[in-house]
Amino acid sequence: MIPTLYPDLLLILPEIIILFTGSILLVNGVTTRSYKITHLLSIVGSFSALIAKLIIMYIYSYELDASYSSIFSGTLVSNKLESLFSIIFLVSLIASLNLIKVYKNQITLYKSEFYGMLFYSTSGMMLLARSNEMITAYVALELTTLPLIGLVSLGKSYVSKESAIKYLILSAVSTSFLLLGAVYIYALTGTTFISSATDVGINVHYGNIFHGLTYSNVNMPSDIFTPISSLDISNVIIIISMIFIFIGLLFKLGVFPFHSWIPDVYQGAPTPITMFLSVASKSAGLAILLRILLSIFEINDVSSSEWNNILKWPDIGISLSIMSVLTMFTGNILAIRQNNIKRMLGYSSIAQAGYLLIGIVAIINSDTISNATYISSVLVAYIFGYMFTNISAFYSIILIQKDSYSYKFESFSGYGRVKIFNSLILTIAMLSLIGIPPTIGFITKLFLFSSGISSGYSWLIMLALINSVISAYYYLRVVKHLYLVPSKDQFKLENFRNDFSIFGLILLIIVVGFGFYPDPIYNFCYDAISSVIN
Amino acid sequence: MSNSDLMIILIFSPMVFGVLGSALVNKNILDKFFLSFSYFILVLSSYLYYQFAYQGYEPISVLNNWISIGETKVDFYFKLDGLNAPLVLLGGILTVVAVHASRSIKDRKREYYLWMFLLISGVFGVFLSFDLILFFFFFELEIIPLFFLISIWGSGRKEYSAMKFLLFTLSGSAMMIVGFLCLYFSSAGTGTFNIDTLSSTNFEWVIPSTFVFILIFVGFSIKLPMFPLHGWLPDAHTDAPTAASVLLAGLLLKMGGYGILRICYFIMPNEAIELSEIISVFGAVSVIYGAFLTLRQTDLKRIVAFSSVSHMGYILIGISAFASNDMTFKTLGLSGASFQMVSHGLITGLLFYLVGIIYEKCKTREVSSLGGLATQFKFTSIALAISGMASLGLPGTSGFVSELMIFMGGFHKFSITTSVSVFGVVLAAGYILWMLQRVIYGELNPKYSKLNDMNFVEKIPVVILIVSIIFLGIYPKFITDVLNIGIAGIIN
Repeated sequence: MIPTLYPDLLLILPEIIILFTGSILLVNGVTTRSYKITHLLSIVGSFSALIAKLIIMYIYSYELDASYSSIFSGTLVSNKLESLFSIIFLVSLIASLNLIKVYKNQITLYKSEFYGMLFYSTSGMMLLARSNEMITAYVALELTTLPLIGLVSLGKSYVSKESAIKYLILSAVSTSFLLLGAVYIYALTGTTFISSATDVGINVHYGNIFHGLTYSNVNMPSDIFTPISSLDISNVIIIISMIFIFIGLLFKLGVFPFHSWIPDVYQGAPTPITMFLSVASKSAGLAILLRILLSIFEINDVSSSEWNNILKWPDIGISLSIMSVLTMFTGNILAIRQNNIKRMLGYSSIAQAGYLLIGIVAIINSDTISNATYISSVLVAYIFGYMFTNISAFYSIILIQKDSYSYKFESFSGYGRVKIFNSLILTIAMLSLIGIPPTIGFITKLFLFSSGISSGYSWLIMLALINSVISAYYYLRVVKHLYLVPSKDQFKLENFRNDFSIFGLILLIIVVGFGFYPDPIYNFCYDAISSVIN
Repeated sequence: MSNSDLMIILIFSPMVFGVLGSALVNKNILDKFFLSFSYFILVLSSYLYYQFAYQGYEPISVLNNWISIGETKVDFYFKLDGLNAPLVLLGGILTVVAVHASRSIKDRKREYYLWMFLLISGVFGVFLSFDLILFFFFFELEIIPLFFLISIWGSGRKEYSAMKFLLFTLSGSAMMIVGFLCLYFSSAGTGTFNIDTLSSTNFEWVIPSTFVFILIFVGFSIKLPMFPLHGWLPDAHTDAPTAASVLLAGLLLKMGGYGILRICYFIMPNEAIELSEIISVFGAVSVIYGAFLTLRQTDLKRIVAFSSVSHMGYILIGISAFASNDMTFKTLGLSGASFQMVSHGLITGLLFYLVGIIYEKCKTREVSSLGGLATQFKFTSIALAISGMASLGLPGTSGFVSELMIFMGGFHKFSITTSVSVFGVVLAAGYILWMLQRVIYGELNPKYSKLNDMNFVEKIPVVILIVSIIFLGIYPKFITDVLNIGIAGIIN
């Protein structure tokens, strides 16, 4: 029962709810300044947005046909894949609200603004995941990033302000690269639309940037070292624009040459925001990257030579895989020496970005649609698992910091015997990050690596697995401090306290339960991806 | 209740009861609870073995599409066959031994039993699963429990040893999983990780097949362990608590040998034949090198640990008989290797248990500070002598049968390496007899004259193990009949 009037507005209802809640929170910030109201409003807003999204998804899968798949004159899309990403963002929003509740004494006075900006950022991510046009994507990306910079700066410490400035400068530079790349592509193809979704009922003609490139008669050089002078000017522009777009998006993921902001920002930001950055912001980057990459498969003949010329250009795959290797090694090797758990998780998130890049390389190199579907669903499932793992890691870290007033490893020696439940959550999260069963991280990582082999990158997978072994060392250092290192004064056995929490139990059940039976996640992701590609 | 259900219960009940028992059961009856539970496991595994060997039931449990991603399917597929049935029985016996050996643990008991039964669950899962992903799931599941068992309840440089074990094993499984995935993507769209299906597939290799074989083989031979990948074993054994040593030597090492037979040889027979000569050489080197290293040891536990390296080398000699053209010798070698797994599990389990008892009473494992134990610890000394004799392959014990089968099978094709490895037995006689002489005979250190021998409960696992060692020594048919069924499945 879809109202025939304004289907477009109905389909972006979740975003509207989130934006509206954010605005009310800001108003609340200048009027009542009551923390209780702020928290209540944010819980209501986020949950109603999640419910709205789920209902829309349900209706969409049964009643909506393809004519609603592109809305607002084709600038936004509405499909299962973006719904999946929106659910990721909303779940991490709800989780960070939960984390902030524990953390609230450590952020500055502006609590309403804190919540408000979180909501704005989430709405930006949701729009980014569904944007179908480079300018929209750019605006959504800015809407995502700018509130995040504010959020990073709202910690009480001096480091927080410093890291906010770092984040501001670096993300401004990277976003401008993205914009520049989009402009070049526009100059070549005359379109800014990413994908040429069906334009039933909409009287606008627009194409697909890859279509545009196909028809503009450009021949890609076979070798990245071809002297520029021997190329057409349009070829040079294509290379540059592709590189620029990738730079802009890989910055979000924290891939090797663009990773330097991550440790500082992760350490400086208030911990709930670190969690939000590591999960939601990273998924947002991946979402738009997937949108761009998967739109290639809308071109009818995927195996045609034109398609090969554009993105299957071998050097993109090779350079991305080299970046992936460098990212993994940088993250993992630098993480070994860290003594601050937040900073360690920062480096670990760099390493995880390297693993994600394997999936992206595999998509670029996949030659059939079914293979691309497999790889993308595996990649999205990985992000899904990573989200729950990271939420549990940061949740337990916040609780630990509340008890020991520090993020240093030594500060929580012996914690494992005093706070059994919380230590269990952290341990399971660490095992999931290494990829040890029975956790969600094991199975998602296994299949992510399988995608690399399916597209012929066995050497990359071997290097990734070496990295997995290296990472076991520093993740288990955390576990070692929890259970093996002799305890300090505040964690003597007589201080044992029951620290059971429902939120923790839910996380535990998800991380371990899906470790035993991951099929629902894979079904969900496979459905979403195949509805987009086919 | 059907046999397949019993098999599922055997795999998952240790996990479930480990978690629930350690969380809920009163601390005072924790030992009794898990002891009776371990006997339940023993009964269950013996019943399954009996059903398979004498009633001819072959329990299969399949839950199709445990994970399905498009055309890729992972099945929840367990099966009891001739190759894993004896190992399941061994698992049941050693579970009882391990729980008996755990009664001396006083500290953090709940966690201890939790990890131990997770480990046992993983072991049964590895032996019974017939799907590569499921196999890998259980193979990885046992790493963390053992890491904790060594690093919390161990002795000496326990954290270092635990980390060393973990990194070695993870590297092994990393190589193994690349091999598994290559197998899957080379199987030309069968869309399954099922071992049975893969064994009858014509592969189109994505990377050279020999390389895939080596990847998987190296992964398993770290676990086995084979020279030069044995570095983790002596440290892990020495520093582990007794029960963990028993399980590690008795069951976890067998996963390596079992995996080589079940996956490398079953799925890739051509590559196996091609590489058998090298495997045989590495086997002989492991036997001799391990034996020489053992001769240098002065710590009882290290003696047993290094002798494991030597004895696991025999398994490689046995399986290299696969290259032989003669069906008889082929079967003989492979069942000899599998028999050696069971026999070594029993013998080393007993040796580690006894060393644990001696360490508990005398508070030392140094051979030089022991001596004359026969006057004070009669039962322990007799048991130690019997297990030592079994370890060096005295006729009448299971060690003799397995070594004889291996040498007969291996000699036909690779006579030189087999002849070399026979000298391992001579060296074994050297270190075992030296150890027995120094520990059992001679003057009793007056320090130990007040101590008592084992009590009744402590004697139970010793009796169980000695009876099974001698029973298998005089009636090997009990196991070889079953093994031959399994080996015939592998060869065809």
